[in-house]
Amino acid sequence: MRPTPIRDAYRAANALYEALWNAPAPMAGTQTYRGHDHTPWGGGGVIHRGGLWSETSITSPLWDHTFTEAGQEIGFYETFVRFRALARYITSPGVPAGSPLRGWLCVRARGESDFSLRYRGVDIAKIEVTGAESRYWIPFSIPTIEAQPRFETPLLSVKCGSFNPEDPPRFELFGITIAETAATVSALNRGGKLLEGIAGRVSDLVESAFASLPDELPNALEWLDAVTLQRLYSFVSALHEGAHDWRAPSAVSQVCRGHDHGGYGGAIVARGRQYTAALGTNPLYQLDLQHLSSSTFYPFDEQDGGSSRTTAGFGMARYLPSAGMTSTGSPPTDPPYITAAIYVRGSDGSGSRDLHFRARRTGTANVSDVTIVAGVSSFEGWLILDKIPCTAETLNEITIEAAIFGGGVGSWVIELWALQVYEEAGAGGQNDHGSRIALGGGVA
Amino acid sequence: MTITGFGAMARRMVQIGREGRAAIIDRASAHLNGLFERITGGAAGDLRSWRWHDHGAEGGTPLARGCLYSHDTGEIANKAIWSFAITSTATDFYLAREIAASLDGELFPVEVSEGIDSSKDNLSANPCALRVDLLVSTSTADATAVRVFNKTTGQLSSPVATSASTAMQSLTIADLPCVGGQTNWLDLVVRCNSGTPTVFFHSVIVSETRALSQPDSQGTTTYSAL
Repeated sequence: MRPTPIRDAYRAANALYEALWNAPAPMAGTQTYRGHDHTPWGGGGVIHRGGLWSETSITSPLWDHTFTEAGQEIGFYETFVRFRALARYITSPGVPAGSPLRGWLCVRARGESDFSLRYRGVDIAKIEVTGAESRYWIPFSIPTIEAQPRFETPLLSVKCGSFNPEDPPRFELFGITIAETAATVSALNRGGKLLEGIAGRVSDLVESAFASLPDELPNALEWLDAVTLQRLYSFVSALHEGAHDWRAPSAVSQVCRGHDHGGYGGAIVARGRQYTAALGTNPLYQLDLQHLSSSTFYPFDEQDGGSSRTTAGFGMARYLPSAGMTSTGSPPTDPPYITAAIYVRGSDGSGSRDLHFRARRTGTANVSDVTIVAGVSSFEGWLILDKIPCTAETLNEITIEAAIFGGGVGSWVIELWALQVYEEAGAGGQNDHGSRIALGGGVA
Repeated sequence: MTITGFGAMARRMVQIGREGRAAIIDRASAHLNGLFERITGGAAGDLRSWRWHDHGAEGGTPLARGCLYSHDTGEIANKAIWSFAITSTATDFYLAREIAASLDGELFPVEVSEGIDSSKDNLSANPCALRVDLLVSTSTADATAVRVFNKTTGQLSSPVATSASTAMQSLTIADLPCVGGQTNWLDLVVRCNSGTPTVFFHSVIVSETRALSQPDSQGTTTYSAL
């Protein structure tokens, strides 16, 4: 077979078709290239994934701290269980360290003083004194910590100014949200911008079609002919429309729907954080195992009895998986599936036991992998619950369970302090792509 | 030398060109190189010429990003942390205003994605909207209506109501208006016509979904049918 530019163009167009739609090229027997999923592993440029953390209250503060001297600085939740566990999130793959995240803080600040919000010891926002009846939201920005991390934890603190013992500085936190936005990735997109061009004339005959582009056509012909070329032209125009969801250059109107990584084609795009539950200096749940059995999983709201969410069929996390995020198996062995991070604290004071944790689709037999903390008499920290079953585009209810193994339950009490659910890019939040080849990868 | 560019793939170019004219295949090659960069984010040659599509300002269907905000109070003993006591019947209570005038109607923020905007229609030909899922209970068995107010757009969602029960109930709002590419400030609005219950918001989730939030395409044909 003679290599020709037209044959190379045919092959390139076929490859881009597969990378765009995550489907075999027209008339191809199998799919060679992975659908792009906006990760360095699957190809496609870096995109932001929106909200990373949200934690709010309205009647009582998440955290209430009264300062005891001038110029004092204290980390969020310092002296409480969640010190250095203020928030924990996965930023989007390909976002380098130092990229800006947008945050909002709802505060009430009282006393004869002034306050500043600090990140790693540097002032990032001024907090005005509000008085006893007022609270308000203030914006702040913090950078991402590292490129392609598993988890990041922001180190925020508050510092007071002067101190008057008759009216001491007092800081109350009512809410914190952190998110990636377009600004997080805006510095990355180096290169020329492309906008939709103006509409063409009908006589230009710009067509969009995905006729097959087999090697046999350009191979068999000595000279290029109009049919061979026109198949390519219309194919390329259709790719242009499918990639951009706008009209092909000089087309009168758009024919092909844009890919949407859902029902209109394209690989799963993991959406990152999909649920946050945390309540400041209050545990979400306390599971008292003293009168329960060992080697048995219990939901964390067991103490709520017949009024519990689990009994009513509602989850401790409630989550709408993205298009394509339907798992197979219990637990699933291959993607797609979801992942959770939980912050727990447990103690018995005596004895050494194995703590087992898992997630369950509420009211079903579908469960995740079991995460085990072995041989402890107490434990505090973040744990990962992996391979949680999921069903796409419907509200999934998820229950978190714990069990004691390796001996009697003793006086074990396990607290659940924070819970996050993720579609994790490069892990559970993807199609099962087998050995297909990834094209490109937009890491700056 | 890598050529990238997006010349029109017009049939008239093929019709008027003689066989083998380089300009015809060059046009296709350049366009393919450009699409490679735009689709994959990689470089067609030594250096990338074009920014990749990002389902935002750089092109591509706007992507619904799922959960924008959530809160959860955990076990029942915590429920008062996110509660509001209605004090009179047949009255709309905007929680942010009731809690503190200084909040100026801003109960909590959501960062709405670029292109997710109620000025466009979704896949069902309705205005693009956010979805809100609530887990709610009331202190008395009085049916209570809940809406969400978007201060940024100045618009309310449709109401959803609990049944006349104190049991925990799941409610879904499917038409919260929004404006894309910026912070939208939201508030919860409650009303009870029969009593003065305390309303407990055990869980609130605000989401962008493909079904409700994603704008419909100007194209009418799915790739598999072309």
